[in-house]
Amino acid sequence: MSHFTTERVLWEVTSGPGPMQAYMADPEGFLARHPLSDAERSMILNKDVKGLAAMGNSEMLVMLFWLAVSGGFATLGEYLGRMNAPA
Amino acid sequence: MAKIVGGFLLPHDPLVTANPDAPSKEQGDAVRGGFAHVARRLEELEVDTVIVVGDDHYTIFGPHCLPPYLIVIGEASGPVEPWVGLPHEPFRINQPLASHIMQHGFDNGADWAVAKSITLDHSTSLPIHLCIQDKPGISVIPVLINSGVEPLISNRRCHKLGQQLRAAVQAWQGSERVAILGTGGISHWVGMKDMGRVNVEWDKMIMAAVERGDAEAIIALSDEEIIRESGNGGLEIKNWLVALGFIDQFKGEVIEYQAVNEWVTGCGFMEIAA
Repeated sequence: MSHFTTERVLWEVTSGPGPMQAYMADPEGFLARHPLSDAERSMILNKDVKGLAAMGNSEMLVMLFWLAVSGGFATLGEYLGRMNAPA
Repeated sequence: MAKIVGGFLLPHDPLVTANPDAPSKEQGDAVRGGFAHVARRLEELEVDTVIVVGDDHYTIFGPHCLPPYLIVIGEASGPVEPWVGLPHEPFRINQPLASHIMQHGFDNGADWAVAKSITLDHSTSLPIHLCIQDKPGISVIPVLINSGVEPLISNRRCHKLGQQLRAAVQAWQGSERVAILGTGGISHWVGMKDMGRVNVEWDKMIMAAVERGDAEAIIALSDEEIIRESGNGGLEIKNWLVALGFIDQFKGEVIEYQAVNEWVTGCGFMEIAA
């Protein structure tokens, strides 16, 4: 797997209110426009932030994606919980 | 001829304004006092132009374009992020000097990426708002280096870029009094599993190197070591290196240091002078 496509998708979702709302309205339709593998698509849909970071995506961007799709800074604790979850 | 009159190193932590009450009042006031001190010193030094060095946080630029270093020559406003808690305002840009720096770079080996009009993120916007925006006699020249998103600019290139900025300003025939702000936190782990940790020992090692004028000690650090000891955010000492290159034969003086876990950052403020 290459992180180039996933990083582009994460960035697009966080690039403004319009793309973020489009993703939230139809995540699978949004992702269908990108050449993602099934595993990559699954990681994004499941907000597998630890997996996304492990495959080389910018951790700063992974966090921004989480905050955009999970409800903002109030959810940061859950994000860190996922990042620190045992393998 | 334009004159270089000073330099400062300071954080641009967006939580300072986004979540001002998170730390103790004592710590919050100390950090806010650091910004106020820099603002006051800019006035005391009769500065009229400030080169503000920051970095993008995958907010302005994207995977389609990641410039290693960029100068703003036209219009700028910020911050782009509403959650930072600052008003989105236009900034006063010293366009003639910025264009001169750009051209001087083109003629002398600094191949700047250039923004004619840009919306800036918190890295340059926050220090401008807290230290400069209320001073109508001071304009800015934002510079962004890629210390936040791989592939990263090298430490050596950052220091050299500061030297090239200095040469460009010294070659300018205007009468400006120019200072530089190297912005960025010291240790902070942005989005990493250790987010919230601050490595005080590392932060003080970096500040001690600045105090004794030892840029080489910082240049010698590998990106891997910086990330291991101070997080991905710790790479913002590359922003500091631009400022250290700008001030010839510098020594540093500590203004303030606070390890603010609630703001997830080691917040260091220093003045650098020849």
